[in-house]
Amino acid sequence: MMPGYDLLALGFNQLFTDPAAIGLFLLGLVAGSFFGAIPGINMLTLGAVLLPFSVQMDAGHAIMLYSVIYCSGVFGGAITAILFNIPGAPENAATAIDGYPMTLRGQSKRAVGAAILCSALGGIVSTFVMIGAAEGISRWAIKAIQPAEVFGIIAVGLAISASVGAKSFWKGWLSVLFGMLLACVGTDPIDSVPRYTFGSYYLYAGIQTVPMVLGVFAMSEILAQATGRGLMSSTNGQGPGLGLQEIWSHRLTVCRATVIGFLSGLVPGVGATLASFVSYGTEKTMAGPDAGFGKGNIRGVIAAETANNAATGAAMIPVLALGLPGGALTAMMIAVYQLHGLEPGPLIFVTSPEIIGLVFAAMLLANIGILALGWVESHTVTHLRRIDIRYLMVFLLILSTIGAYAERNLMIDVWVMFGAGVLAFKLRELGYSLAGLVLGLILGKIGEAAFMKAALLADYSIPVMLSRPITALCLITALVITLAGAYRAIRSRSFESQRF
Amino acid sequence: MKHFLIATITSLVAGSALAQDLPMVDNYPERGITFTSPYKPGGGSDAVTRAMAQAFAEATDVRTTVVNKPGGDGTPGTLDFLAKKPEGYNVLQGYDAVVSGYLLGNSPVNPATDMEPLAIVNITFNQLLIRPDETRFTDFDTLVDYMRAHPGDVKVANVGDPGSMERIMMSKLEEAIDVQTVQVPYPAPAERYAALIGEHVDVLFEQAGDVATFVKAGEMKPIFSFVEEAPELFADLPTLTTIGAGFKPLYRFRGFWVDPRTSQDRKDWLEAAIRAGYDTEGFQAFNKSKYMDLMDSYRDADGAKTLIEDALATYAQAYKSLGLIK
Repeated sequence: MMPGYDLLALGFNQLFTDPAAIGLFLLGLVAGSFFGAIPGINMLTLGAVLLPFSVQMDAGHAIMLYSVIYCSGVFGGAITAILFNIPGAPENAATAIDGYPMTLRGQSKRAVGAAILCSALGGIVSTFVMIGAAEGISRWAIKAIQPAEVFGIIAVGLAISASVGAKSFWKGWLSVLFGMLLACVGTDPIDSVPRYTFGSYYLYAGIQTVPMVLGVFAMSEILAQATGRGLMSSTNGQGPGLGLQEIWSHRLTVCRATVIGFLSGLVPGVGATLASFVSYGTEKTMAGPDAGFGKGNIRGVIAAETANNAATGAAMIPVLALGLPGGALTAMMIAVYQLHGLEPGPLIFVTSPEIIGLVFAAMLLANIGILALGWVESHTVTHLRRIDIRYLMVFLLILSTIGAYAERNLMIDVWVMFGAGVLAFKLRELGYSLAGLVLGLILGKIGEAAFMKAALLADYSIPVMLSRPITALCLITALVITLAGAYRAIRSRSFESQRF
Repeated sequence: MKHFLIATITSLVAGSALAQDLPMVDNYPERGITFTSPYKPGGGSDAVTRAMAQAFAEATDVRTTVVNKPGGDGTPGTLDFLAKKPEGYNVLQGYDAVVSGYLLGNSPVNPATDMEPLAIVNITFNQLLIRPDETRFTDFDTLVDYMRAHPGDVKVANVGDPGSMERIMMSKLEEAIDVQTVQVPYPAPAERYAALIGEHVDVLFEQAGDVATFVKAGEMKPIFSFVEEAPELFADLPTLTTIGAGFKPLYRFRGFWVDPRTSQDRKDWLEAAIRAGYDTEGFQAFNKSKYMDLMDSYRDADGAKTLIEDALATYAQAYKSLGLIK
């Protein structure tokens, strides 16, 4: 088997001597970014559209194209999250929490710049690690990170999310718990028992994340604008761009986010969404309550975008090393391999080194390409905010509706989006956390399934579950965060009452 | 796929000889045929749908489109399919879950009467797999010995739904050989495979073709086949017959349905077109890659209906004995 960096050299050689490969690389880079930026219609849609055409392509070209789309697609969703508070995909939802307030403060160019640079950094680092030690890392990850560890990480995520964007600690927790209640709609992850379906077969599938994200973030803003209570306004001000010095000052955030994103991406079923929220929450907790998170702190954008792109690079490791896809697009990649008579897994490094080399080279260049693409976007797309707000809202309404429908081609998802929009509009006015609500939904689903699996594997023994160090550490951290938040909330309330 | 833009497959092969063998129907088809897969993109059902859509287009010169409407074990997508006009331009893909879903009340659609099968194109069997470097047991006999010595200790990665074909087969095996295991549900196939390779569980229950890659790569080792007669490729593995299990195997089957209100001539055309697609080199290669060539994988409309009705009766009996239905 060739060493990873020899494969990379082989891949560069193939890529740069093949005009068709260069053309497909550029197509994947631009199209992935474009589709990723359209709410609801993301890189998976593009992957589906291209699947039949990939059959006609050379195997190396087809697999390379999907790898490039995977890199650029995750980055694309950050732009709309920052400019319009509409995440292109759930993995960009954490980016909106601070990215959008930055736009409202006239700093959109700086926020977009941070997203671009950090997406590229996270992606490049994880790609280098993938090239260097794919198989060893993959085997370690699937052994070390079991359902109990996933549950522990999610517990930390939930504890942190209660402190994101709500007017008080209690409202934060209520938002998260309400999201978790919505996550119960559908069938339970163990025995498929229907819950809160109210006799509707359409609710058996549960509340889908994409229409919920679009409703909570986009529809609530559209309703707020319609009633004259919106936050967004047309603006000519994009503010200054991002200096490299500023990113350097956040180097530790970038490092932490890369590690969190990388570890999350390695485990099938965890992925980029959890990575971005845990990374965001870690920075928020470390910075303390007075750091202005949720009000336009660039560190929030850096944490979320570095982590979600680091996760996508890492997610390729189990695909290539073991043939284990972590999400829908990586599952589609496996299908592309199989359509060409190839099977990803340890043997592919021996049987098709030229294809693996091409994937390595293309993914590395795609992450570098994000920088160039991002520079163009930061000088062009940010001008969309100059459009009259009334027209912009109509445009966003159309996009959101299409995005909600596109998820499953079912009208119920459009109704869910509208319902979530009305609900979020009211909750926002009352000071509840919209991010907490969405996080409760996303993490609640993964967390319940992880907890039940962990419980079965531990024969329903809590001491056995807690004997796993990572799980115990995470659960203690979650408890400390929650108790510290409660203590601060109680103390500030007693100060308030003394004042009166 | 995600999914409204949809993967559209246009056959580049013009003047196919197969297209000329199809029955003639006036003014039909005048536009493309949509294949609806009510399951997630990237999974086994999606792969079959796409392979057939491509083969169908190749064999008929008719444009085909694949749409995914996932969630709720396929019920929302199926209901949406049945709400469309029955003009013969929509075909639904489904698998044996349509039987379990109907019997357990998770779907109102009877797969034998409320929709009409065109063909079953994919039939496969299940296996038990272990890690090749496992030392506590190395084959089925030693696994049984271990399970008897350590009741309830062995963890088996399986699907979540207790009414699924997989869970029924495992329950019946436990009953037949008088052992007890813990079924750990992993809804996503990749999670199940990682659970075995990553040593979270001891045994994996899976369809043979779905894990062929892992077996070839030396990551997994099959030790038992849920069949009556062992296929040649797995001739050395024990089967239900060799262990005297006393129950018949249930198989994973995947096929295509049409709205029963569609006119008979259009249904006949669609059935012939699916058969023509099945016979293409591409679809045969696809089935072979999934070990679907190890047993007779095709049933025409009548055969499919018989298979589904048999499955309804067998599942109902199994559910009653397991106390899942009255």
